[in-house]
Formats: sequence, structure tokens, C-alpha cells
Amino acid sequence: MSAARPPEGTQPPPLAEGRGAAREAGNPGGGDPVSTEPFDPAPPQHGPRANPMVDRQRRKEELRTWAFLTFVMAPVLAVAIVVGYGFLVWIFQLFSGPPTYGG
Amino acid sequence: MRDLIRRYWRTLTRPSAYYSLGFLTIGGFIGGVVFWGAFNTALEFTNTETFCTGCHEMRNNPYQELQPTIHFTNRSGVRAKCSDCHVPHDWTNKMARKMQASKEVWGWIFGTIDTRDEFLDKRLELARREWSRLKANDSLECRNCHLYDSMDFTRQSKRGGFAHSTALDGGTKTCIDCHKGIAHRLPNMAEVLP
Repeated sequence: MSAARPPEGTQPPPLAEGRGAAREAGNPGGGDPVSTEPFDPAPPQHGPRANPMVDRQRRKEELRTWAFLTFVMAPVLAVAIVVGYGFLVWIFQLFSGPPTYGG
Repeated sequence: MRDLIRRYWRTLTRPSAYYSLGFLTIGGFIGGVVFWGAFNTALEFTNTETFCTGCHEMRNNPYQELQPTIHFTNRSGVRAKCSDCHVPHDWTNKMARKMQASKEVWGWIFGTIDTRDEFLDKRLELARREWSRLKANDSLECRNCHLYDSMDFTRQSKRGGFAHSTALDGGTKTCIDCHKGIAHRLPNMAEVLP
């Protein structure tokens, strides 16, 4: 699973390190994402470039997570489910005999 | 490493701050469409003659025997390819058959039927498997093309018209009961009980 994720070395050091550091939303408890944090986790749409607090790390991670889910995990999962279903039907047919007319 | 996983897990379970619902939804939808297209294309490829006869076992044995038969060349140019008869068309049974083919992949890797002699030794077993399948599903794969309701008995031979209008009509016999060995050569039928 973790193979598709970027190696740790590629992360900017100040963001990737430090348990208590105010990385990402600075929400170490992982609780309510909208909480009293040092900075807004979702900066206003107007001029994110102008905002020095824009979290490039989080933006990158969100895109990577989306791409992984859409192009790797969901297809692999879908194939695995179909394959598993096919094997189940085959095993069932070992006992019930070959498929009959209409079924 | 743990930190990395935790960080991505949080990204996964929390609303996106930088990508709109529109992008995520439409992007996911397009990904799904592309996947489904690719899946069906790949599945259909495993149903082609090119794929089936890609290995020497199939190309040198059943495929050679099929070619002189009416199911391969005929006046109207309609060909029954391997999958038309040997792969169920119904989706569920097709998936089961595709998984069953993992046994064939095993046989291919370990050369279970590597030579003509090995094929001939196995012919009865292979044929029996297909006969019992067609017997159980009332010759479904024949009937995908050959419709009983469209048969004109007057244009069949006397013997054929009689058999079709009696035994086949009454359901006491199905196509495969009489039409064995029509696409590949028969095994030694002395070993087969009538």
C-alpha cells in the first residue's frame, strides 16, 4: 500500500518532521478539522499565492491521495472483487455441477 | 514511515482543502469510465481467437481440427470462434469460467498438454467435460446461434427433421446428445457408454 506514496526524503523537512509541529492544519489530535488552529486549513479562494500560509504540502498530499485512490486503489479493488466473485461462483459450481439452462 | 501513513490517512479522511468537489467527483467519474472501458476491452481480448490460439497447445490441436469444419468456414462466412462455444455469455458464468481458466494457465506453465500425444491422451477427459457442460445447460452455447423456433424441418434431412421435431422438441434430447464431434475430432467412442 505504501509503495505508491512518495519516499520520505522528498518531503520538505520542516513539514515532515516534528510531532508537535504545526504542519498541515496543525491538528495533532486528528479531531474536528475545523478548530481553533494557528492558521486557516482552507485559505480563501482569492489569491492563494498571495497567502503565505498556503499549505503546499497538504495540497500535494491531497492530489496524490486522490490520484492513488482513483487510478490505483479503486481499479485494483474492483478487479479483486470481480476475481473473488468469479472464484466463488466456480467453487459453488464444483458442488452444484456446471451451470444449467437459464442460470 | 508511521508518520507518513498517518499523514496520508488524515488527508484521506478529511475534506479536501484545495480541490473542489467538482474536480474530485468528475475526476473520479472519468476514472471510473476509463477503468470500465479498459476492463471490458481486456475481458473481450481474452475471448478472441488470437488470444486462445496464442499458445501452441491450442493452436496445434483444437484449432487445427476446427478449421475444416463448417463452424470455421462456410458459404455465409459466419464463424464460431472458440469463446462462442466454450465461454458462457452470461456475465456471472463468464467470470466463473475466466477464473476457472487459471487452471489452464497452470497447465500452460507446467506443460500439461505439451505434445500431440498428451493431447490425444487427454481428449476423452476434455471432451467429457464439455459434453457434460452442454448437457447441463441444454446446449446453451449452441442455442445462442441455432434457434429451435427458426428451424425449417422441411429443409433438413429426413432423419434430422424427424429427430428435431420429436426428441429435441420434446426436450428428451439436447443438441449435444447427437452432435458430438462437430467442431473437433471425436475421442475413441468405444470408451464412451451410449
